[in-house]
Amino acid sequence: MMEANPLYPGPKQAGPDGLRYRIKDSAFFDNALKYCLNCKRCEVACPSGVKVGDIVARAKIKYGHSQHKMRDLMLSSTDLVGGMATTFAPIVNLALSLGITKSMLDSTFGVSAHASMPKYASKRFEQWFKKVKAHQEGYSRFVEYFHGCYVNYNYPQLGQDFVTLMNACGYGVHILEKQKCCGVALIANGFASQATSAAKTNLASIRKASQPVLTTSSSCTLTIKEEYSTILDQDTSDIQSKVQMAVKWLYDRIERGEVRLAFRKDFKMKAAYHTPCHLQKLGNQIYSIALLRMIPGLDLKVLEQKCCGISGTFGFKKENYAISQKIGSQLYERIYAANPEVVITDCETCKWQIEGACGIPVFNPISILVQALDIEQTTKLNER
Amino acid sequence: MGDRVREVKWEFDTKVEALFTENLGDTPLQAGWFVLCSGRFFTRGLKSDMEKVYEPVFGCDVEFEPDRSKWCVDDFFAAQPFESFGVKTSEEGNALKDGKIIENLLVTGDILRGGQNNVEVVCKIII
Repeated sequence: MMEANPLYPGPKQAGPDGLRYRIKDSAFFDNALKYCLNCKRCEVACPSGVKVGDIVARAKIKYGHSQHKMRDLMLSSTDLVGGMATTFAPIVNLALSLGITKSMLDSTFGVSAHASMPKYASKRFEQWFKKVKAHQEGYSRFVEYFHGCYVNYNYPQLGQDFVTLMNACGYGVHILEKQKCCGVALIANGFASQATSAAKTNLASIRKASQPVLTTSSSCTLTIKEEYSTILDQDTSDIQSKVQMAVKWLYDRIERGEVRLAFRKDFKMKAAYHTPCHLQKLGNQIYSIALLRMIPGLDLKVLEQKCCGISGTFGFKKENYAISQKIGSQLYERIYAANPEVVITDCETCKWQIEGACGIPVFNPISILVQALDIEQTTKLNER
Repeated sequence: MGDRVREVKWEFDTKVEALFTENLGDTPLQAGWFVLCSGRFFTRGLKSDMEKVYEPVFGCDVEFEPDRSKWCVDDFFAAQPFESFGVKTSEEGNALKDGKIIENLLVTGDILRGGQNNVEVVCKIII
C-alpha cells in the first residue's frame, strides 16, 4: 500500500505510534487506516515481533466507520449470500456479468463495476460430497477437511480435487461438521461480533475432530490459527498443530515415507507460482513450492513475492478498485514477464484478482497436483 | 523471514542435524551446512541479561567483557564496549560451542565479535 498510496501513514504510525494517541482519545483514529490491507508484511519484517497488522485491525474494529456498512456486511457474509446465490446460481451469475447490473451495483451499492464478480456454483461442495461420503468410509485412515466458503459456494472443483488427492494417498475425507466461513472478511470490515460467533463455532468443531483438520486456503488458515486469537481473543493454543494447510500435511507425509505420489509421464505445463501474502506470513509457501517441484513435467517459475492488491473484499469496493489494481500491477508485470500458461497460488481472492486482470487461468497447487497425478499408480503405491 | 527457530536438533554436540521453527511446526529443516547471520542486539542475534551476553539459537560461544560495569562508557557518542561483543569462530569461520568447533555451522555478519561501533560511526558523520 505504501508504494501505491501516499495517504496511508505506514505501519509504524498506523500501528503502535497511533495506538498511544488512540488510547488517550478515540478522536485520534485516522480514517486512513482503512487503507491497511492486512497483508502482514509489517509483521513479517518487524525484528521485535510487534503484531502491527493486529493493532491496526483492532483499531478499525473499535473506531472505524464505513460509509457503506450494508455493502460491507453483504460482501463479508459469505455463508448468507453464498447460500442464496447457489440456489439461483445461473440467474445470479448471468445478472452479475451484465453491464447494467454492474452499473447499478456501482452507483447504489458501491461495488466497483470494473471488478469481475466471482461465479457461484449450482451445487455446493457439501451437496456434492454427499455422493462420495459412503466411499470415504472404505478407508482405514482419515483427514478432516475445512473447505471454507469459497470451495463450498464458488468453486467446489477444488474440494473435489482435494478429495481425489487424499483418496489416492490412501486417506478418506470427512468434512469438518458445522463449519462456517472463517470470518476473515468480517474481521477486516469491522464486524467483530459476527466474526467471533463464527470463530466459536469453528473452534468447537475443530476441537471435536479426532484427525488433522486440513485446509486449501491460505487466508482461512491464517485467520483460524492466528487472528481468532490475536484479534478476536479466542484461545487457539490447543489447535495449532491440528489445523494445517493440506500442502504442509502432504509434504510431511511424503518426507517421512508414509505417502508416495506418482505422476503422469505425459503431463507438461509451464507455470508461475505466486505466494499469497497470508501464506508468506505463515511461512508455508515452501510446502506448495516443494510439492510442485516434485512434478517432473512442470516448468515452474517462483515469482518474486508481491501483493496482488485485492485484499479480499477490499478490491471489490468502488473507492478502492484503482488502488487495488495499482498495487497488483507490480505482480502482473512479473507474471507477464514469466509468460506462463497458468498461475498457481493457494489463495482464492488472489486467483480472482489475477484472472480478472491478466486473463490467465489460476489454480490451487492441490488442483495442479491432481492434474499431474497418475491416480491409478499413486493409489497402488499407497495401498495398505 | 518473520519466523523464529524454536529448537535445534544436534547430531553430536559438534554437528547440527536439523532446526525447527515456530511457523513450520514439526517439519525439520535439514541441510549439509548452516550459516548463522542473525545480526546483533536489535535483530536478536545476540541477547543479554544482567550477567552475560549469549547467542540464543545454538548457544555459540560469545566473546564479552565479564565485568558488567565495563559494558558501557558514560559518553553516549563514544565507542561502546558492548558493540564489539559477538560470536567467536575458528579460523575457517566455524562457530564454537563450549570451545568445540561445530563442523557444519558457519558464522558471518554483524553477529561476529569485533564489530564496529554504530552510534560512534554514524554520529561522526553527522557531527
